[in-house]
Amino acid sequence: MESSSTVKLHKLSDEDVMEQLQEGVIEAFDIIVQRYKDRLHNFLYRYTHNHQDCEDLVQETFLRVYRSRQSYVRIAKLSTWMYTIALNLAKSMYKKKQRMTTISMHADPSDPEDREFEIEDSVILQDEKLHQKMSVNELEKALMKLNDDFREVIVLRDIQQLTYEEIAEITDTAMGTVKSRINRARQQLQALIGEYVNPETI
Amino acid sequence: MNKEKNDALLDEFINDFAEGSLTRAELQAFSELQNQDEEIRIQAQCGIRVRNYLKNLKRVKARPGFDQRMAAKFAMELQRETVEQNREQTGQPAVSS
Repeated sequence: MESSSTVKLHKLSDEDVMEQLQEGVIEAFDIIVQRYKDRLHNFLYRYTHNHQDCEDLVQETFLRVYRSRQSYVRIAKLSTWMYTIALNLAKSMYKKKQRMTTISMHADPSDPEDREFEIEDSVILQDEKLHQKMSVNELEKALMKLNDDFREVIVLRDIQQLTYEEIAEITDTAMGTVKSRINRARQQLQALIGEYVNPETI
Repeated sequence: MNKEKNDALLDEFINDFAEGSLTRAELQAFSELQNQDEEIRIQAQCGIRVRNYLKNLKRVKARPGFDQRMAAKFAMELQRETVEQNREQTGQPAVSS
């Protein structure tokens, strides 16, 4: 059963919950985790393509939020601040991986939850189903092929559904540049997937 | 209007068109522009298509057991913080990991 203080925390805005955490209310951390765990997974998976790495990054994001809690200032939305932390972590992990090895665009075969990307025997699958699976796979690959600046804006806008203002703040980029990058990212993504993807099957 | 400003305005129109956020008057003006310029029409249609692809991409969620694993990590963090605070109070030097 939840304590009355936890019930009260549930009703607060993100920024008020964060204020509680700054004042030492440890339960506030769990509220933040509950509110953001899925959003951060959906965001960070576009950088990792691996559920375990993605979870590690999500956990690290939350721990950094906790460690840096006193540096959060209410003028920023909590979501924007958290995405900034997550994006910086994702970028440094991505660079580290690029240095270590050529990134495999395929899902992690040891991870059972990555099986959605396996291409099964075409004899078993009906053509349409097979095409759909391949299309999603190609789309994920194409996203990974976009340059960093383009990928981050298109993921934040078209997958995470953030506003231009939020994206400008998270990426520390002028709004005009964000808009321009989003348009160019969409064009580049279409060019990358154009030959593979049938829009009707996505 | 210089080329840079013109391009920025065009990007904004194309994005707003793809996201369905143009006013009726803007939409009419932009439709005329598309009729006059094939390149703009292609970009505008591409914006709509790519948004649709991405909208249908499978949403990734936290895996089962995430809450417990996160709670365990957080408990370790609290413990580390407590050790650090005690060390500061007793004046012992911090041990780097």
